[in-house]
Amino acid sequence: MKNSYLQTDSKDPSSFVIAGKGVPVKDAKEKVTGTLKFAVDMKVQGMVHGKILRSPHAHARITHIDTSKAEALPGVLGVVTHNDAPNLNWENAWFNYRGKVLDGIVRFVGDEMAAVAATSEEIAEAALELVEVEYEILPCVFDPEKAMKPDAPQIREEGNVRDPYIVEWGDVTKGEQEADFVVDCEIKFASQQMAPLGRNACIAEWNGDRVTMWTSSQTPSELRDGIHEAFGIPLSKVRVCALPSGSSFGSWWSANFMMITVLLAKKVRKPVKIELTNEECMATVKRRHLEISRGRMGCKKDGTLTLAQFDHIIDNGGYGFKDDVGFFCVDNWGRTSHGRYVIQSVNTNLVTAGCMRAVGDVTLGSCVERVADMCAIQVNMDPVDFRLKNQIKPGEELRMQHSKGYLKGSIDEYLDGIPEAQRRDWPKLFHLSSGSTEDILIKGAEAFDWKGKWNGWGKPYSIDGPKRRAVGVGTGAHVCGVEFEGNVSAVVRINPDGSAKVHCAAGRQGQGSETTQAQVAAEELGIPFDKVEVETGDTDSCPWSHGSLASNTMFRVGWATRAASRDAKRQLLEIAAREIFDSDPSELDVNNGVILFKDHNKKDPQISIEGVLNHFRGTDALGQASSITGRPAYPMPPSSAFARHFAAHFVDLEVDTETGEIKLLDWLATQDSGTIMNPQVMKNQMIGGAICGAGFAICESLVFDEETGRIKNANLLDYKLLRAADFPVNGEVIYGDSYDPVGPFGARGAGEAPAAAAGPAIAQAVYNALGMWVDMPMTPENVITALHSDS
Amino acid sequence: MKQPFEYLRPNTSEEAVALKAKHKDRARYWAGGTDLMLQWRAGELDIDYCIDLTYLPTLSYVENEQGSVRIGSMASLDDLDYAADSNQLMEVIGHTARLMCTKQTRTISTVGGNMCNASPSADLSVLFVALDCEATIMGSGGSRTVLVENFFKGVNETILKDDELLIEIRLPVPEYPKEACYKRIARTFVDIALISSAVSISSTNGVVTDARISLGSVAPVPIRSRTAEQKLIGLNLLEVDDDILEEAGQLAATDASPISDVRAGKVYRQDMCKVLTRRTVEESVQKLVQKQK
Amino acid sequence: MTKLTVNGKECEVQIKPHESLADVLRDQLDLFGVRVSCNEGECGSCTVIMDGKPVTACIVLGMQAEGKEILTIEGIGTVDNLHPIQQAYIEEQGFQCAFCTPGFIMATKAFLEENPDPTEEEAAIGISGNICRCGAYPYIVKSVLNAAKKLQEQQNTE
Repeated sequence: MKNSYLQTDSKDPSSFVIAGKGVPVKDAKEKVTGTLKFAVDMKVQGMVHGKILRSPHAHARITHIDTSKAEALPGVLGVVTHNDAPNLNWENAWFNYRGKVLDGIVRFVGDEMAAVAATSEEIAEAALELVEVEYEILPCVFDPEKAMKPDAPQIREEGNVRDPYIVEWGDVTKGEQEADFVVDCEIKFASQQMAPLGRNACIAEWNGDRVTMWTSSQTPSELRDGIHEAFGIPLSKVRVCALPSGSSFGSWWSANFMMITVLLAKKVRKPVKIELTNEECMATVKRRHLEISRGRMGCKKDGTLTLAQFDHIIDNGGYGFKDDVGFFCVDNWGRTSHGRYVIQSVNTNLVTAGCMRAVGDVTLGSCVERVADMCAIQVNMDPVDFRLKNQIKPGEELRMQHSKGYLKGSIDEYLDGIPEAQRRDWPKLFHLSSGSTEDILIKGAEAFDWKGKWNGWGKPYSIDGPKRRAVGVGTGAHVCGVEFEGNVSAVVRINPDGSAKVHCAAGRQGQGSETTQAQVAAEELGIPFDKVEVETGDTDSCPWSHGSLASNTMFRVGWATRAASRDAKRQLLEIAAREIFDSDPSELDVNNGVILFKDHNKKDPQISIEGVLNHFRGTDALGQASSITGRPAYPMPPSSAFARHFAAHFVDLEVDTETGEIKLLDWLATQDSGTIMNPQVMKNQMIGGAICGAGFAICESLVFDEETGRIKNANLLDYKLLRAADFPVNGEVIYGDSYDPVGPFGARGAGEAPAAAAGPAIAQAVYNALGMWVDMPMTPENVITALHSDS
Repeated sequence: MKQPFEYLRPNTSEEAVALKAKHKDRARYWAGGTDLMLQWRAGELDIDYCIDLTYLPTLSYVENEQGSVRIGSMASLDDLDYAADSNQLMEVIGHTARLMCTKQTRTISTVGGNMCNASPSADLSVLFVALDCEATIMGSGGSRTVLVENFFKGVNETILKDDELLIEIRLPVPEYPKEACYKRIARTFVDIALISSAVSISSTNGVVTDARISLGSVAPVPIRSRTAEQKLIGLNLLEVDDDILEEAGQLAATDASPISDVRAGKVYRQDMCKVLTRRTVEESVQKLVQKQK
Repeated sequence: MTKLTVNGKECEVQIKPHESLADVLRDQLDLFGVRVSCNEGECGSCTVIMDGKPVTACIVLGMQAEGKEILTIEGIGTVDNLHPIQQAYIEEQGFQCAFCTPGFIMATKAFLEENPDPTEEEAAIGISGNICRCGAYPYIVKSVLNAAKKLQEQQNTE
């Protein structure tokens, strides 16, 4: 049998039965018929509707709040204010949010102050107008650098400024001395908005002292933790049923409006649904940080980088508490012998900022790519060649290894908890285990006819009146999940009829987790894919897991799914060996739902899983047959210490030098994510990431009012998103050829590197068209402004 | 604060006008509603009645009459797309309509509704000005006709009196060669025009006999640059060279008074007046030259 | 009470004057495939077909749908009986989170009725009235072209 489950340890993807196949996602039919339910579609019997009262001020203390008129409105069931909220801080994943549900202080225009529950949304909305609030206006600050000054208005009780996060290796003074020249630049990045079309809603219901929540979330486990922290109730009394979300990109981990829903539901003792409008989603939940990058690189005449020194500031908005961005460009360009990256985060009176797709690598990564290109320009080296020369290869040291002053903890702390015996088979930590930009740059350059179109730095390959055409290449990297705050786990159950179910906390935002986890489990178990289902959102059945952030799902959750499947299979084969085959379990395997001997010469017996379990069931005093439950038997190695995924994007574009308009003509997205578990899903992640990054590069930016910090374009009319006609219809993808030693069947994370690679590719192509750099977003106006200021 | 309103459905234009005369500014004519719905949701529309025009049977035509095209005020933007084949000017109108909003919104939006909303960036309004279009208006006191150029008073303000209803836009089609062109700059494929330029040029025996140059998003209303127009009149088509185009563009830019808003800054808009005017004049002239051959 | 004709059936609904067609379809007829995202006619998620033409239901007054034939995603195919366009989207995986997908499919249907044999570029322009934030555009365009073929084959066999 060529393709057979019997070869599950094989590293040859062509031997896989279901792993690596582009099968339609399991919910495809629901998706195209509109029957897949999102949180906004959810209804619970007896539920009432909630609306949130939002602050008109950027920074204020509520000195008096009178809800009596609102409560008196017919149809209103109750109102909550900070006086009802517990005095407990809660945090979401990665310190993207830290605060109390309501605390009587508002920190950005649109911040939550109170909430009303009523029999209809309309009545709840009308009731909001009847809540009377008096404020003590506090001074406010919107500029991150101003907010860092000691005399700036303090927004958080812990102060505005977190300790700097530093990654350093070698000696920057030496790095400068070894260089033949040094180049530097400063870039201020606009804030990107996730603009989640799926919006969100939250339904919370209390039964006695137990709470159930339905909402779209990518991080069910951490959401449950948040509720536990915010309300001081045991985890056993909290159940989160996370539903699929529309594209989230970091919006829908846990959000404070969910906690307010819980508070309101407790007050009125009825299920409460709060549904956010599009404007609320875009202006009151989360956004990408505003970031300022100041970088310099030292380089030798032969194109060897000797120095990488970057100072980077990120704003956390009102409630963010992060001290870093995940910036794996550090590692991608880590061959540089000396380096120092310093991240400084600070709060501002703007809506909370935090992780959005490829956090840090979209922004700081763009700055690094540009400074590196500036070096390549000086030595007149082709940018593909410059990257091949200076970017990390497998086996080389990861610069991000030991963190310094890292709120989330360090790898050393993590390792302390793992016995030596369980770390024996781990890859070499702090070194890149597999993958790089090498294979994909070479393949991509060839497929794109890079050498044919590359005309030299700052030289368009075609000039037609005011229109110039040029190509560009950009690379990006990101981690494949991280291990702090808790590991990943999964549970796999084999049912008496031979079907199986995976329970693993993950998100569903179109990245196919309900399908790819099933592929992993099916491949490992030897059970047909059609008989394997996945539960990702119910915290009552899914063990703790980071969920879908930091490109965690395929690599880490998938690893746990495979490990749990292995354990379930072991239990199954122990039963089969003992009860029917009269052999050692190690002699057996499962293929296509049938248990048989591994040894081809032993053809009999071959019995279906169902046959074995049902045969055994009658005498199964311990109940083993009906309750095979597998879970990982050993811990996963810490991904951030060895795993990265990489993308290289090639773009061909045209700039109209009179109007500044940019037209994307052709796109090639290449990616190294190890084994591609499902190409149909993967191609979408690569192009989808490209479009997200391209949007950041060309047209997306939040506009903040200078006086109040209010977002002026929290709508899709003026927060511009790319359309089908804005992106090359023949955008292609190419996969790299690597096999991850740890990831399930060689697969690695995938969702974020493509978002990081897109912008630099466009920026470089624009440089090549115009002979000058343009900052993002490269709107027509910004291009013309740059052209005019240059002349 | 969103104020609920009552729904009224007239069956004839006369009924509609009578209802508006009765309720005055407590009522609004509601055509496609693409603008009014958003204003109401933002709490910016305080009315007691909406007068739904979409059931009026006789206002959604696009008809060719000798020497002119008559567009009913309730014709949708999509209808203009379908009517684009009738003549070279309707082709430009159709092309311009296709640049606006989305297919779905074009199906709902009406030519009249779009004009009456009087946004400074309304693409068709800018073009209608350059094409010498006329607007026919009906009120309880009778009907009148005004040049579209004189229809707009300010941002979201027209010369319509309380009860008046826009009935029809008439495009005069000339006897002698006339070509037009419309261009706009936007940030993405679907966008409100950051700035736009519409040009029409008439010629006889290869000489420019008349010209209209209008601009959008550079003033509270669509404006004409009469100085730029004068530059072209009397010239032989083949004399319209790069220098002339440059001058015309420059003159148009000086007639514009753009502001900065969330979409674009005024310096950029000012600069683009020149660029777009140059390009629209050039293309119109090229079309005429082609026609001559 | 107002009578609406939705997916070939006559229904009686209670429409408030300011209610959008999208709200009426979702709240009173449980047609959740009519998805509301931007609620300002910009993104196309709520696209339905009204008297044969695609409209964004979020800015159409419910009352303006009286006397018209409304077609939603629920009316063109089901999980047990997919429409060729739906089948095409599955084959090309022209979606990710799929919140926008019903809107795209309705827009596709309307587009192919006007232009049954589009080029790649025409297809991209044709469905640019819809936004996909996940960024599945090239695969959506392929879905439209795949659907065009399927519909043509269907026509040829009829």
